Amino acid sequence: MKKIIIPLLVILIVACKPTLPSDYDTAGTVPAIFPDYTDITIPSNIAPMNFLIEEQADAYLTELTSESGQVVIKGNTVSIPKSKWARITKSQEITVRVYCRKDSKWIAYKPFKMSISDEIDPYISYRIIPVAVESYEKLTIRQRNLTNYSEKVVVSNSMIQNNAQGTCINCHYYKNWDTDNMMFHVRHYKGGTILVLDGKLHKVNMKTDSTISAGVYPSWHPTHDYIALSNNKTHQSVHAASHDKLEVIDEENDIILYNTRDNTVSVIENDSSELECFPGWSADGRTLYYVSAHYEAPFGPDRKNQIFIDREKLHFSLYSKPFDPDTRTWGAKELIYDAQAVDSSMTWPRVSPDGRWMVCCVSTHGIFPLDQIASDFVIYDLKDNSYRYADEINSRFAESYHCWSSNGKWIMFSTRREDGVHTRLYFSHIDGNGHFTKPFALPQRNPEFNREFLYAFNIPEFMKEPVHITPRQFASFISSTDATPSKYESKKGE
Amino acid sequence: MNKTRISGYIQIILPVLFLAALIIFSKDYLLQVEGRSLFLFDWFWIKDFLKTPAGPLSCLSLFLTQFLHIPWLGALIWVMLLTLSAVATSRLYIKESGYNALAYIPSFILAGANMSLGYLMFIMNSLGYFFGPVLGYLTVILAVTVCRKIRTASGLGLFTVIWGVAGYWFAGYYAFAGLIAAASDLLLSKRDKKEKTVFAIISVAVIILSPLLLYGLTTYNLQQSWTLGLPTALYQETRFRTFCPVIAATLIPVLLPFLSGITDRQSRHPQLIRIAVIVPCILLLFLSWFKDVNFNAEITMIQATDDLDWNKSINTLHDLSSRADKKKDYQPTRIMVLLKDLALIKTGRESQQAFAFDDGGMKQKKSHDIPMVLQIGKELYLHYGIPGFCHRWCLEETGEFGWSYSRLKYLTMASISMNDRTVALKYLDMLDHTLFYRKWSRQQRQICYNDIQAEKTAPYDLILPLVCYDDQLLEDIRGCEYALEHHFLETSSGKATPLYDRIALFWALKSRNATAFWTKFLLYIESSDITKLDRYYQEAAYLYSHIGNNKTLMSLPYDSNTKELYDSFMATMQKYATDIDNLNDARRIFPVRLRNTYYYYYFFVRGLESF
Repeated sequence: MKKIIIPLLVILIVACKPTLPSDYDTAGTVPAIFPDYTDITIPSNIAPMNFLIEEQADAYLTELTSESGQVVIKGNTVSIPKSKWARITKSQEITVRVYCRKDSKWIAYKPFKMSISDEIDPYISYRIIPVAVESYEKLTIRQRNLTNYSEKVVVSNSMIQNNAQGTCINCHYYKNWDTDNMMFHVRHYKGGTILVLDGKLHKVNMKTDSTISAGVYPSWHPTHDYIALSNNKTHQSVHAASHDKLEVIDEENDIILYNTRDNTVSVIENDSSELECFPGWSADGRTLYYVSAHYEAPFGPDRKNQIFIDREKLHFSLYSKPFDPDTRTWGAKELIYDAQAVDSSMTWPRVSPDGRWMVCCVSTHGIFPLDQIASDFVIYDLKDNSYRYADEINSRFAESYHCWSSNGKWIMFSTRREDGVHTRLYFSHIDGNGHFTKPFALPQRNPEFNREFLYAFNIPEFMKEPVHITPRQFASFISSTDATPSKYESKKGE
Repeated sequence: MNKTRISGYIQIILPVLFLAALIIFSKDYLLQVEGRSLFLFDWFWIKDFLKTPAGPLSCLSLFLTQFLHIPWLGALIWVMLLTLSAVATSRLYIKESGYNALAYIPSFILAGANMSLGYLMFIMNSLGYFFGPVLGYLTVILAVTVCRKIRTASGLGLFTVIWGVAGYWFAGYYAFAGLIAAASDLLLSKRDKKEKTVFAIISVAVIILSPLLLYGLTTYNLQQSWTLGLPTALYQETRFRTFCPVIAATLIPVLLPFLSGITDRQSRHPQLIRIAVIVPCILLLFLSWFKDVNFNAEITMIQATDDLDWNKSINTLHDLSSRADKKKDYQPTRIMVLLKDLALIKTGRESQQAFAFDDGGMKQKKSHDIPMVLQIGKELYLHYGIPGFCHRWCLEETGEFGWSYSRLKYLTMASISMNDRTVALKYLDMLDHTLFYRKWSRQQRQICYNDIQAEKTAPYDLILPLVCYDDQLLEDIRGCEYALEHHFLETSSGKATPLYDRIALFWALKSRNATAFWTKFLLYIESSDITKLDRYYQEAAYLYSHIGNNKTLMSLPYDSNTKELYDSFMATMQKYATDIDNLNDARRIFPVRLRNTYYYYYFFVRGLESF
């Protein structure tokens, strides 16, 4: 019996394996595919880069070849088996060639390359949010394994909120990509900042009588127990008819330093005529970068309306401020980029782990690049503080939140390049000269995911490992624990 | 007459009458229910429902809800399911046909639950709430049926565990209701005590443990775990209202075994029993059916707006006003007035007819605060040329109540109006996966690629000329009526179109602000090529020239009718000045001829609360 079955199985397997056409015409262009994965650089440990061939044809064959193997996939949805992907990604480069049969004739498109480069952190986390202003019941923070497609909820609004009392979880952040030390905020119902310090959960309230709000946008000090955070009094307003759907403005901004060891808050910058925001530490933790816009209007009930009227005059400049982490003393601030002078606005300074590069968002005005179609990235060379627009990763739609992988070789950012409304995650490799490769979309099992998914990705962060605390543990802790008030330290330390 | 035949007649006559009532009186309501739901023939979309307890039931319910697009078909399916529920209950529990009528009670309750929602329909946030309860009820009946068929204690135990997990995953609450009904049925049966004990213990255990077990896989709040699948609305306080009827219906199978002593006996007066049960049920359904005339008119007008059937919208209010003429205290709601104004604007008749209708601000008969913007925000903002706000409210509604055909349609139209073509195509891609909106999607796709065609095609031909202002930030925290007035009175535009100026003038008239009126009046005169002013513009100009005592403006070439109506109006007003406290007093005193003037609107239609 075995003598019959085994050869039969072999014949079946061989018969099922798609064979490439020997007779075909060649097209001078690469095929239209979604997501656009043509001529990109990818990490060696990334999940299979599935894509959809968007050429009209009767049949499709895709050949992925590298020095370590070959894969042929049938059909216009190119779903690459993980084991075969692992084999072909062992070499330096994958060549992809698409064949389409139209009217009984095969056409071979111009091959495109996927260059394989440095490894990337295996995990990322992000918020998944409805694209709305007020409805955020279905908001979740999720973590995704980049080496496959596994996605899990870290924490979800719906697990915490009581129907009448909503909750908003936001601004998750990790110390040195390590999930044993992480934080996020819970606003409104059961509110507070959730801190995980060496794996242990804490809930604190950073709002003090001497500060304008609780902490908002964080940056965790790389070596010491400090988190620099902005204080924001944020408002939103909607455009009547514009590609920029929403305008987010802070009525007031300051920057504070939170000490995780003794739960104290001290002010870093709180000039009443300045709106200071988006702190970002240098790699050695001895400089704090932040942005600030000069704005003068009387404090009171009309200030909010006035600042919306003046929104196009808000130009955030980039500053740096020296810091001695051992003595917790500050030096004088230094202007790096004068936004007022060039009628633009700079936000989100984030420095690479090697301390050489800093990427920021630049837009026409204001503080919230996520909702500004004009927002693009610039990259600073911190050796000489020179900068240039990172045009190789910019698009005609909003580029916004970005972060560095722990090895400093990859940048992940959110962008609305696909449809102008839904923010998606893209990755790019950076070389030693500060040049980025063509960005590629987060790979998904279903290559049409980005088209079909109607929520937005937000606040992407790299992680070296997954968050180990379960959603239920987070939810139960948040629901059952009152926030410990932080103590205010009046000493500014300058 | 044969008893079985009577029972058969009831099974046919009652559903047919109910179906007829649904189609005659609630056609637009059914269409609105369908418009607020979504089913996509897309595995990626369906898979999401399979991840949560009660998700499959929601998905199945949404599948059926789509057939309400053809109201008679959807209603027929719903009525057939209700009938099936009654027949199945009867076969399962009632041996004597005289008591068959008892089996109709759950179906009447479930029918009443849906038809009594009224304004809650705008804020229902459980997906598939329309068909969900009847499907859930059938799940309960299925549980009892299967339990009766299982003859061994071990079989029952196994079934209970599987049902407790798989059934809960499929139908949430209804799976547990099924176990409770089966337990009640079993405990009162003549079966072995051991079987009863095993079943009771395992049932209690799975009811407690299943949600805890599956909770780890979900992101629900733990407290909600035992009620998943029941219809819910936006506010916690509405839970009692939406849960109660459905829980009551599912309790009937729990109670029926206790009545077996009666229902198994032959009745001496079966007809009397039928009447005693069916008549109160019909009465209950009739009383619970939300029949408020303004609600029904609003629903019809919203549907007409969605269909771009402007005349239907106008005629609905016109017919209602004519019928209500004898009822002196009648007032339409703000929503009806706004939709009527919109329809008149779209048909170019606002300057001749806008104030010829009853105006008013009758409070909606609703138990909870449901802002106007959640009812007609997207319609008003789109058709008044504020697509950013239409887009925003579609997404807000989606965040609260889930995706729907209607929201996807408005998102598409808003995106095309803002020239956001790529995202419009994304919404159209979704509609391509529907059964009844593919054709609409194909048409929009053509428009999407062709600016010139868009400018000529409804509704864009009357929207795009309104998107002619310098972009601005808008605020509608005080309601969308205020936001619209603010937009048309305050927004400056160097590129205003004649249509924009015409509508801005209309809103100036509505605002009763003389300065705004004259400003917009001049812009309108400049941009339009009219040779003669329409009726209400004349009346407004004549009135404001008198209020401002401006002799020059008073001497414009007004029609004699304008002046004559003004004189009559003023004379009536002076005569009855002390008798008029409010709009209803004015309505009683002024004849229709004077009520239909701008003068009447200016002096009496005031202080109406928008929301």
